[in-house]
Amino acid sequence: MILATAIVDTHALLQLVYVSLIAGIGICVVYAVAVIGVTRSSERRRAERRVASALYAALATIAAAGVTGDPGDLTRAHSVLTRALSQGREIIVVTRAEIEQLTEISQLILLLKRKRAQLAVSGTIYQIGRK
Amino acid sequence: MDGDLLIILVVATALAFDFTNGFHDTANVVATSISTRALSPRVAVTLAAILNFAGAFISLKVASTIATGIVDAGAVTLPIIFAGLIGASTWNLATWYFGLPSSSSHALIGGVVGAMIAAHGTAAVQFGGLLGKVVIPAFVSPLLAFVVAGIGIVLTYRLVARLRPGPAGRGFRYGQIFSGGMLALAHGTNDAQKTMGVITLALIAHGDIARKAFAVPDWVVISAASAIALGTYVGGWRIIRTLGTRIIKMDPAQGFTAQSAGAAVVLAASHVGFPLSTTHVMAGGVMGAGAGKRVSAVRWGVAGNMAIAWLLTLPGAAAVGAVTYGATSLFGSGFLGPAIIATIAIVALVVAMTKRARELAARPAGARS
Repeated sequence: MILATAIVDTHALLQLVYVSLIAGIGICVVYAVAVIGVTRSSERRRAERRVASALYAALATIAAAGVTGDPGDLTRAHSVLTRALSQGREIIVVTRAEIEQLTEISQLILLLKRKRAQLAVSGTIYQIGRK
Repeated sequence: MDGDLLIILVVATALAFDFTNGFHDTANVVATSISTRALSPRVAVTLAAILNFAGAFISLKVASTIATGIVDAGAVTLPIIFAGLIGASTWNLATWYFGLPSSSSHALIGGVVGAMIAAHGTAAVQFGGLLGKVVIPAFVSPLLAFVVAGIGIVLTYRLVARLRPGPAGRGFRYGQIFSGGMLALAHGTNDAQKTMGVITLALIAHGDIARKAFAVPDWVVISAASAIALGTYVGGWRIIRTLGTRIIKMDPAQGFTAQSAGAAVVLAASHVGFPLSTTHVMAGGVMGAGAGKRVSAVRWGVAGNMAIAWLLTLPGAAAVGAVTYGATSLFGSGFLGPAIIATIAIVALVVAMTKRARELAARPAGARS
């Protein structure tokens, strides 16, 4: 066991394992959410349900950006969100924990409706500097 | 004078190997994009070539592992490196001829280790480094890609379960442009560095670089990047068919997942300096994406044949490397032996390729592969 530990760089091997798992699975989940957003947005637009279409488009944008970047420097997703807010668009933020709890599309729709209601009451959900 | 000619021959052979590496591994990078019709073959191969070139500039950790972590750099001579490269190239071309996706990386390492053992015995090989940095990651990485792709496809199917197949498939086809690009970048990062490492080892043996001051010259990075990109562009259509459609029949979501898993594993390995086999990783990813949907969808027989080819790669390339070193040393330790072997190798290659081309031309169009 000691010999095996001496030969194998366990730290590097563990780093390989967890980085691969997080990055590989993370990309798949985020991209699947982006596909849902784009597809549903397009369906709602065709059905002339503009609010739902915009919500799904926002979901797709956020997922496609991977919600990366620095809120202080307004890079990447944060920049996209801030620009959208300044243009008077409504932004709903869906967190990874919320996405992970979803098991079917109806739950996603319910989540988005609930968040949309919160948005209507509070004026905004997403604010710069608030995570 | 002999030494100068020999270093030129070794560098040329290393770049030729890098070319065959790109040629051989094109399948790993583009097979899934082509088989799901996300990209046309020509676009996929061109994109892969460009990103392979770019990827070669990202890191030098794998090159450092190859140059300093596997064999005793102080005992390496130019004929040893030459014999190792011939062993690896011969193995690569033989597996290409039979349509088997074995590992170029392990062929290279096996060839150099075999030639080293033939020259100096087992004492000159750092078996700890070989086991810890090559053999164990070689076993772990395909399993890891299998698990990542398996979990990734299960979650993906679960998330998009209620979408109509058409638009969802189209979405993942677009995604494959990104995931295929990432995989090509990862391939360039990990695989081009192996040739850089071998050329650096040759420069150390020739006395151009001090053994304790490891550094890869810029011209080595640029030439290795160019050779692998050119090899990728020329492509290996025969192996594309094996990896892309024979293991499983894939849909775009599976292709995206397999490529993302492969890219994540290879980039993470490059970051920590493990010289992985892109072929092993990508096949693991493809099988994981297939098994995640339905275990019986994977053609385990084909996967088993590939596993056998992989197991034979290190010892097979080592044996060819050792025999080549023995043959070159019959003509002394100078330029003559490697020059004769190089001439024989070129003639054999031309004969094999001509024979193969004639065989393909004689078959009916539908039976070609």
